[in-house]
Amino acid sequence: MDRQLKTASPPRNEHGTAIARPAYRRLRGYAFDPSLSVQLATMGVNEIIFRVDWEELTKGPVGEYVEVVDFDPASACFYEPVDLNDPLVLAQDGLSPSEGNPQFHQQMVYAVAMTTVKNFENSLGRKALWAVQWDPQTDQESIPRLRIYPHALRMPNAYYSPNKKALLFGYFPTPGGLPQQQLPGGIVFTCLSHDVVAHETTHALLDGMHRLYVEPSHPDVLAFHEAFADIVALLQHFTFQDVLRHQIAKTRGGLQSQNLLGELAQQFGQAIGNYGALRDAIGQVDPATHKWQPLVPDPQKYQLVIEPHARGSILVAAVFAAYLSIYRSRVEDLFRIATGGSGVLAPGALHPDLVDRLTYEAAKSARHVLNMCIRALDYCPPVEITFGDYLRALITADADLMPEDERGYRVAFIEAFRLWGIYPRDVRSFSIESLRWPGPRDEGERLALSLVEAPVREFLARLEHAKTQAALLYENRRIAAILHRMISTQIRDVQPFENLTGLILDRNSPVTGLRRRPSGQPKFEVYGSQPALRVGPGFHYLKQVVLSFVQTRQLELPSGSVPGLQSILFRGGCTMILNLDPFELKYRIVKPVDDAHRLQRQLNYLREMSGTAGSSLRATYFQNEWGRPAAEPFAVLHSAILPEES
Amino acid sequence: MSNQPVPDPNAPAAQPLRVRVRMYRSGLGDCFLISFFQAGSKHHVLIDCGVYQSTPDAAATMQAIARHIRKTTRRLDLVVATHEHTDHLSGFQQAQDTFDQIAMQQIWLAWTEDPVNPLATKLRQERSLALNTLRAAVQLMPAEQDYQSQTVRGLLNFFGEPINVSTGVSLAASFAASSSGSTARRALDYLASRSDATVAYCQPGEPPRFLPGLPGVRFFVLGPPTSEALLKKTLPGKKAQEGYGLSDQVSLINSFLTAIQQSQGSLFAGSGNRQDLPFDPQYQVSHDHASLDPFFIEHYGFGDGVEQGVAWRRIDRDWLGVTSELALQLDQATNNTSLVLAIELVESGQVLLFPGDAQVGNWLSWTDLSWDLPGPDGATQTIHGGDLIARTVFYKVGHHGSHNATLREKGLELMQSSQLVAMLPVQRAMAERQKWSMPFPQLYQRLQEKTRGRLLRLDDGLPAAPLLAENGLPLLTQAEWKAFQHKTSVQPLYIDYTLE
Repeated sequence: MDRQLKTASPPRNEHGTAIARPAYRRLRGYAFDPSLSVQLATMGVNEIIFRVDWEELTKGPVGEYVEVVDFDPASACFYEPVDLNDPLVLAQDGLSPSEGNPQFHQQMVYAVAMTTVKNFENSLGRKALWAVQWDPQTDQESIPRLRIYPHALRMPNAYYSPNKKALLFGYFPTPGGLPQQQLPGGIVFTCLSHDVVAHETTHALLDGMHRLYVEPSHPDVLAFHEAFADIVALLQHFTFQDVLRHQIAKTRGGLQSQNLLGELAQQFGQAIGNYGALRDAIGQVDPATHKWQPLVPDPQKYQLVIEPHARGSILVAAVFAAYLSIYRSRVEDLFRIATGGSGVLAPGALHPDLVDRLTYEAAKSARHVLNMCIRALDYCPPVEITFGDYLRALITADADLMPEDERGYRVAFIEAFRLWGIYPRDVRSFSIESLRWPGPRDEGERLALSLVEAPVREFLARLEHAKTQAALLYENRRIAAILHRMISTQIRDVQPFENLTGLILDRNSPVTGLRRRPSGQPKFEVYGSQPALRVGPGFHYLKQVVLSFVQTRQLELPSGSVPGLQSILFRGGCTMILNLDPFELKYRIVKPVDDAHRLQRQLNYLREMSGTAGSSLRATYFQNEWGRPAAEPFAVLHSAILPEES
Repeated sequence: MSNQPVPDPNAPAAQPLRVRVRMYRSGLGDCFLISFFQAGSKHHVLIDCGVYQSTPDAAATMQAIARHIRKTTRRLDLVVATHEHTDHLSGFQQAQDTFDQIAMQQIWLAWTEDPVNPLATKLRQERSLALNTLRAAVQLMPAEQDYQSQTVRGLLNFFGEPINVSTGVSLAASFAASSSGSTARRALDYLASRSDATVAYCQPGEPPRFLPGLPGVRFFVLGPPTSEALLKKTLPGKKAQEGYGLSDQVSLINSFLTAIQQSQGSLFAGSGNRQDLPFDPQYQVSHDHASLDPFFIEHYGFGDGVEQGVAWRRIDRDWLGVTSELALQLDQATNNTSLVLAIELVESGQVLLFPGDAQVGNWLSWTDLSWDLPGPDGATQTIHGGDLIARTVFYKVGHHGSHNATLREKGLELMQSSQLVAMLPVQRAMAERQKWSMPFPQLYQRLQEKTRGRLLRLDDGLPAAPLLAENGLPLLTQAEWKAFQHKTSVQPLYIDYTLE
C-alpha cells in the first residue's frame, strides 16, 4: 500500500502569515528499561527527550515510515492508538513516561524507531527504504510502512519479521518475581527498551539495504546481522549526552572512564535475554573483585566460534574497542590538562567542566563511529557478507570521505579488528591501502561502465522529484530494467565485463547451475542502484552511485554430501561504486559466481551445520531446511528462554 | 591404578563373575537387561523399557520384548526407571500384563520422583504445568506453523498421550486427567505401586547399593543432582546473569497458560475478569469494538475486504511461537532428572555406566561426588566420581546419541579404558523421520574413536569389519576384533555383549 506524503498547507494566523513548521517533534522516553532493576537507572536520569524529525502524523502513530498498531493477541484486545498531534500532547513533549499506559509505549516505540531511521539517512545521504514486499494477492511490489506491534508476544523476545515487514515486541513477567505473581505487578516491556527497539529497527533497515544477508552461506552472515543491529543500538545510546553525563560524573576518576563506557555498554543491553549476550566480549564483572573488567581480546575466538551470537559478539567487541580507542585519543589532551601532565586525577568527583567535555567527546566519537559503520554498508558485497569484508568496507568508506585520517580513526579500526583476529581474506597486508577495496585495474575497467552513464544520470535527475517510497521504488525498478537491457544486449565483448563484475554473461559458459534465458544467456539481476551523496568535514563533497549485481546458481548436491540437502543456491555478484564527476568506476567489491573455493567453503559450512546444527538442544530437534532462511530467522536468534551453548 | 579396589580378604573366594548386557531392540528407545552370572547364582537388572510414542507397532514390539524378558527370568532383582519419558517407560504400560507376571525385588527411581521430597514435588508440578500448557498451545497452532507444531508434538510425545484425550473435553478437565494420565507418568506410578517390590528413591552421593547375594557388584548413584540450579542449568560456567533465569519460567508459563486458557476455542474470548492483562481495563479495546473502528480496520483488518488491512501482516498466532522454546526447555529439564548409575565390578574395578538421558547439568555434578568407603585393609578409601568415569568399560550412550547428552571434556574424554565398549540405542530411520539429529555425527565419530570401533548400534548391530583409522590401519588388532565378535551376539530382538 503506498501513501503520498501529505503536505498540509502550513497553518496561517489571522494576518495570513504562515507559521514555520517545527524542525523536530520532541517526545519523551525512557533512557533505560524501567522495569528492570538496573543499578544505573536508580541513579538519576531515566528520562530523555527524543527529537524526531517533524512529519505529518495520524493517530497510531502512523507516519511515512512506520505505523504502530497496538494489538495484543495474548490478551485478546487492542489498545487505543495515540494521537501525537493532540495539543495537550504536543505541549508536554509527548505523553508522560508511564509503564501502565500503552499509548506511551506507542509513542516511545515510534520515537526510537524514527531516531534510528534518521541516523541511517544522515549517514547514507539518502532516503532509507524498507525491503521490498511482494503482495501475493495483488501480484504487486511495494514498500509498505514498517509495522510495529508494541505488545505482540507474551515472551522475553522481540524480533523483526521479514515476511510481515513488522517488528514484534514481547512482554513478560518481571524475572525474580514470585511464582504466583499477578502480571500487573511487574512486567518487562521490551518495547520500552531503547536498545531493543533500535536493534530491531536496524534489522529492518539492514534488510532493506541488503536483502540477501539473511541467507546463512557463511558463519559470519547471521552473526553480522545481529552484531550490526547491536552496534547501532549501542552507539546510538552513547549519543545521548544527558544520559552519559550523569554516568561519567559518577566515576571516581582516573582513566577508568573507558572502563565505565564498556561497563555502560553492557548494562545498557543487559537482562533481556540474548541482547546482553552480544556485548559479552566487551568485558565482564570479575567474580572475585566484583569490579567490571574489560576482556582481553582473544584472536582465537573468531576461528573457533560458530554460533551466531558468540560470533557476533566478536564483531561488536571489535567495533566497540575501536570506539574506545578513538574516544581515548580525543580526550588525552583533556586528561593532560586536568592532571597537569601527571596523568593522575585528584581523588573525589571530577570537575563538572571536565565531565561535560568528556561527555561531549564520548557522544561525538559515538556519532562518528556510528556514521562510519552505517556508511560502510554501501561498500559491502551484495551477498555473503563476512567480517573481513566489513572491515574493508569501513576503511574504504571512511577513506573516501576523509582523505586524511587525521584523527586516526581508520588505524583504530584496523588495530581493533587485528586484536580480535578478524582478517579479511585475500589481502596482502593489514595496511590501510591494502584493505581498501580495489579500484579498476586499467583504463578499460575504469571506463567499462561508461555505457551506463547516460541512464544513470537520468536516474539521478529523476530522483530529485521522487519523494515518496512508492516513487523511489518505481525509479529503482526502472533503472534496473534499463541497465539490465543494456548489459544483456549492448556488450559485445563479455569477457572484460565478466572479469570486472564476477558475473557470467557468456551463453557458452560451462559454469553449471546458472539460470538461463531461452537464448541461453545466463540470467542475472541488477540488484540495487542507489545514489550516495555525502558531505565530509571541510566540505569535501562526494557524489556517487552504488550499483550492485547478483547472479544465482542452483546446484544439485551429490547425495549424502550434505545430509538433508539436495540442492543449494550459490550466489555471487558485485557492488560497484561509481563516481559521478567524472563518471568512472571507483571501487569494485566482487564475489565471483564461479569461485570454486568459496563454493567449497560454503558446502563445508553447510555440512558442519547440518551435522551439528549449532550445538544446542534446539538443534537436535529443529533441523530446519539448510541453506534456506527459516520462516522467522530473527525470532529464533533472539529467544531468551533457551540460552545457546557458547 | 591407585583407585583399584583391593579384594577383601574376608570375602568368600572371589568367584568368576560374568556380566551380560542385553540391549533390546525396541527402536528409538531404551531397554537394557543386565545379567550377573556367578557360580550358582543369577541376578537380573532391568534398566528402562520403552520405545518412542509414534513408532509403528510400538505396543506389539514392547510386548514381544516383555515376553522375552519373562522367558529369560521370572524374577527381576532390580528394575530401574531413569526418567519420565515414554521411550524409557512405555513398555511398562504396553506390556503391563506380562510384567505383572514377573516378580520385582527392588525398584529404584530418582529422588525427583519421591512424593515426600518437597523439591521433587515442586519440580514435578512445574513440569506438569508446562506439559499441559504446551499440549493446549499446540492445539491452537495453525496450519502455517505446521512444521513447528509438528516438531513440538514430536517433543511432547516423549511424555505420551494422556488418557481421555478428546477435543470435546474442556481444558480444565483434560489438565486434571493428563497430569496423572500420560503414559510415562502412569508407568512410573505402576512401578511405584508394585506391592512385591521395595521402592527406593536414590540420591547421588549416598553409599553404594548392593543386590542381596551379589557382594561383588556395587551400584553408585551419580545423579540427578540435588541442586535445583544444576538440574535446570543448561550449561555450567555461563555468566551469572542468564538474562531470563530459568527459575522464572513458572511465572512466564503461568502467564502464557492463562492466555491460552482464555483463547481456548476462540481467539477472541471475552475479556471478562482476566487477571493476567498487562494494562488496566480502561485502555483495552475489545475485538468487537476494534472491528468497527476505522483505524483498526485499515491498519489491521478483520476480513478479506479491500478496505481491510492485509492478512499477511497480521499476528494472530505469532505469540504461540514461544511454544517450541518451552517444549525444548521441558524436554531438557526432564532429561536432566535421569537417574544415573555407575555399576562397579569390585574385583576388577571395571564400571558400567548407565546415564539415562542425563544432560550437561547432570553430568557435571558427578565429578564433585566422592565416597569414603572402608577399604579391604580397614583403611578408608575415597572414590571420586571422576574415578568411576575413568574406569568405565561399558557406556550406554545417552539420549540416542544426541549432542547434549554425552559430555565431552568432563565426560567421554575422562574414560580411560582401552577396553571401552558402547551401546547406542538409536534407530536412525525413526529419528530422521522426525528430523532429529540422532546420533549426532561428531559425537558418533568420537564414540567410535574412543571405543575403537566397538560401538554397537541398535539398528545396525555388529559392524561388518573393524573400524579403520585415518591411515587405513584397523584400530583393533585381529585378536581384539575376534574377541569382540566372540563376546557379542546379535539377534533380531536384542543384542548381547558379555564382559568376563
